[in-house]
Amino acid sequence: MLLLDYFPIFIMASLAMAFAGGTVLASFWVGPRQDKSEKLDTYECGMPPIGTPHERFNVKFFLVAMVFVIFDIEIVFLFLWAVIFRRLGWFGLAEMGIFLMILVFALLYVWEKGVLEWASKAK
Amino acid sequence: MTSIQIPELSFSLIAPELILCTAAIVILLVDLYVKNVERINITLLALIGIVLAFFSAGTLYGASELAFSWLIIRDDMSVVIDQIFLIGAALIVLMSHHYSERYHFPYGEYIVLLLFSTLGMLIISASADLITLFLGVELVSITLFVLTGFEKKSLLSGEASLKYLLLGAFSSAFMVYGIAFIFGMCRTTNLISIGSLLSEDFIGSPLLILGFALLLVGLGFKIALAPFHMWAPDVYQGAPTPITAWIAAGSKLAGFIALVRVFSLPDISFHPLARTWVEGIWWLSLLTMIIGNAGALVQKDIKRMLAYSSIAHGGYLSMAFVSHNDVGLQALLFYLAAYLFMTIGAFAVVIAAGRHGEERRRISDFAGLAKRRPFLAAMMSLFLLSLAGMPPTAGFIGKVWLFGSAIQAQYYGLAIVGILTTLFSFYYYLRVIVYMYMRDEEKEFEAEPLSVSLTLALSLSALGVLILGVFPNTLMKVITNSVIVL
Repeated sequence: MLLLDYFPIFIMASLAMAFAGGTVLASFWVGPRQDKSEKLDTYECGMPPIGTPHERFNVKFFLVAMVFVIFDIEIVFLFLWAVIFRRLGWFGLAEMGIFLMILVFALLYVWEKGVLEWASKAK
Repeated sequence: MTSIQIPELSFSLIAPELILCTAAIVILLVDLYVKNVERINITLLALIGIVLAFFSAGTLYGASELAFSWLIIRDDMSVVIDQIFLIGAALIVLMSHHYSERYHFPYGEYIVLLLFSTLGMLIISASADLITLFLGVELVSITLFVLTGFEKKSLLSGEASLKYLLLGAFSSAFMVYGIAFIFGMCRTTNLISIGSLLSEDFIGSPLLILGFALLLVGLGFKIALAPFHMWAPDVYQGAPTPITAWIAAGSKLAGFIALVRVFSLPDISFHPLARTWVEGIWWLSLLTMIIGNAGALVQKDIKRMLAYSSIAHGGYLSMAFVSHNDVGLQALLFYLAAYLFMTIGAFAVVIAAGRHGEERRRISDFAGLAKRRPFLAAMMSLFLLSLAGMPPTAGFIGKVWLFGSAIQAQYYGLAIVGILTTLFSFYYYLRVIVYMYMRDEEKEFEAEPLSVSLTLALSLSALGVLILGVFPNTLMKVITNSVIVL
């Protein structure tokens, strides 16, 4: 009964899928095909492709991304805390102090390991 | 402006966790800022932290409380388990001290990660909420992924780490999915509340069963129950040996404790839902015992053999959930403690048999060990016999108790399969002993002399195996009391 109410949506969805699928299939069957090597090549703005797309990224991208996520989440907590800062009182301040202290240790670690320096001294 | 009611925070109840966490952070800072810190000092710091945590856990006996808005449960069971974890962690630190001399990996970070993984295990044992449980499981897993890949120059280690990471992430996804279903049906993630909901006439809907099943699959991956055991041999083989021991002993223990927390919810033993998962675990247990023991028969690498043996032990241990009675739970806790000592001990011998740049990992490498290193051979024999379940070792008492619980619950078939597979297991355990005592070595190999730390780890594990085997009463009493409180 409840499902019947959704019947128009079902028709709509079926029509949409039939249209989308039908167009793709029609162009696949009806359209002319020329399987030449240039055509099957990677499309790169009309230029002949150079090298492989699987490039090795510098590991620093990932390190910075991870550090960013950690401190981003810290900000989320800080916002909530700041909104009710007065009502939480000294207890909240102390708790947040401990929380930030732990994160500062992490920051010190990251700093000392040289993650924050983009152009690293080659080791 | 009204002040906010702050929930009661009882920090004393999580003292062991806090101490361990502080120790890890202190070691991290020492490692960063003290130039050329000696490895022995880091080891000592870690051991001090572990010992302090051990004794602070000891003061918590008798507490039976829920803390931190019901996120943490502190009962005697959690204290016993915490102490077992901490003993294990101390043994692993001792082994790592010796092992890290061979491979110059960043020792400070290694120890910090090891302590954090132990912290995760303590969190699991004290969790009263699915969220805390998941947090603990993830803390254990993520630190172990990194530790597995710590031998950067070894391809095997990297491969093991990647496999462990991918399958671990996969299984965590199963767990979260399961938790989501349970939350959807019960509107709470608190295990105590879920338990009371189920014990009322709450109709076990298919979605709820699906939730618990997904949770079981996720945890099944972590403790390598067949058919979710595929990762174990490769990871055990590739990881640095102390970490292999920690995955085999600590992480497996933690997974089982997580299962205890989830599937031994109070008051639901007679709930129809209980029958459903008992049936599921029955099959898992059967498969695991058979596959684990059959796999171990054909291994040539000792770490792979011990990996399959550890899978098989997962099968015996999960029998406790099938019997689903107090005896089963007590036997499980006892066997976990026994298993920790014998597994860590066996891997310690594997470390001791090798030397810098050359590990002795093939079973044939152990030929003639008894002549050159009688102490090592004797130790290995003790641990292997205990794994096989020979009296007077801890493994024997544990197995008798476990199989007894299955018989008491009238699962005769499962108990018989357990006994038969145990008999098979004698073949591959005894084969190593035969190699050590009755074969001559193929070529001369002089292993490193035993260091103090490794000797200590070996003797303590041996002592654990023997004491639990000959005088099991002390631990039995503690465990029996703790389970009754539950």
